[in-house]
Amino acid sequence: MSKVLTARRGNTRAAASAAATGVPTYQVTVSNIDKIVECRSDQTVLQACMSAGIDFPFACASGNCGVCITQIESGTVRMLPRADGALSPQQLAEGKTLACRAQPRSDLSITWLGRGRR
Amino acid sequence: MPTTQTEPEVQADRKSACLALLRQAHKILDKEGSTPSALHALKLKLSALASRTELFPLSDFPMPVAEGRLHTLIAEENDGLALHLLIGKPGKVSNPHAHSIWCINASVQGREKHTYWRRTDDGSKPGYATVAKLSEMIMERGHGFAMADHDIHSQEVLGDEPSVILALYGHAFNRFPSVVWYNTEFSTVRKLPSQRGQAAA
Repeated sequence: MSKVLTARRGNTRAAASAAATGVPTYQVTVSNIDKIVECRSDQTVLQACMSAGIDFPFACASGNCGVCITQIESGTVRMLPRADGALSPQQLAEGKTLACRAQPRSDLSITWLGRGRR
Repeated sequence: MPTTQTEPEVQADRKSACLALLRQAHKILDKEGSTPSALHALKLKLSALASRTELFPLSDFPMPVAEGRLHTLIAEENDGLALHLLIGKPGKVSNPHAHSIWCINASVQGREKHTYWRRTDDGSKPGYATVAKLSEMIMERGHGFAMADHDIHSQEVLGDEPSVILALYGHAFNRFPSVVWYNTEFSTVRKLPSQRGQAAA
């Protein structure tokens, strides 16, 4: 069974804020470590994972390097601005994303691929 | 009588101007090394080239599929110099980073905010770093900047039009020794391995 992780700091405040502002929150299942994190729609997947204490692979965290490339097994994301070199159209079509640029629009199931598997 | 250059003439002029810049750069670097004064001199040369906007029409450079794209104008072999043209759409950002090689940027068009940082922790904790903001500048046409190997900066494309930047580096993009990325939200530092030996991006 997957373990649900939440932000280590300010989680209660974040949840209260989400409830107050109406910002939707989704569950992101990280298959590599069989854990689930809660991610607000105004957060990136990387932000939610880092806040939950997950050692997610990343470097630039701004859509330039591609280290956080991730396979989406299910779900939908919105992408923040990124560089072409970090994620090709073909990778996008294959359901890959950048965790640092992806904001959830539904519950997600993901697997980080790491730079070596681009 | 005004005349209009043909596309091949523009491309030939651009190549000639870029090669001339690299010759001037080598002359300066061979004499002085990559000292602050040498990099300043290179900034003036690159800014002068960037001001020749007729040499860099957007029609010659495909726009990004996403928000940022790098075009290589000239890349010398091995560890020679490289001149790139970078296009960024509004909203494109780069977190604080150091290239580990000197670089000069000059604006052809558009507006970018560049923020300069310095590392403030002692580097004793692997993966952990804090950085403090030093200054900001808005780079527009005619502006440029120079950075030494380990200077840290971040970027954000402002306004409504794409930014077009000429970037002269001590090595080609795919031969950088490494790029070191800092994250102010996570208080992290991550060293991106060199792309040497891999195909060019």
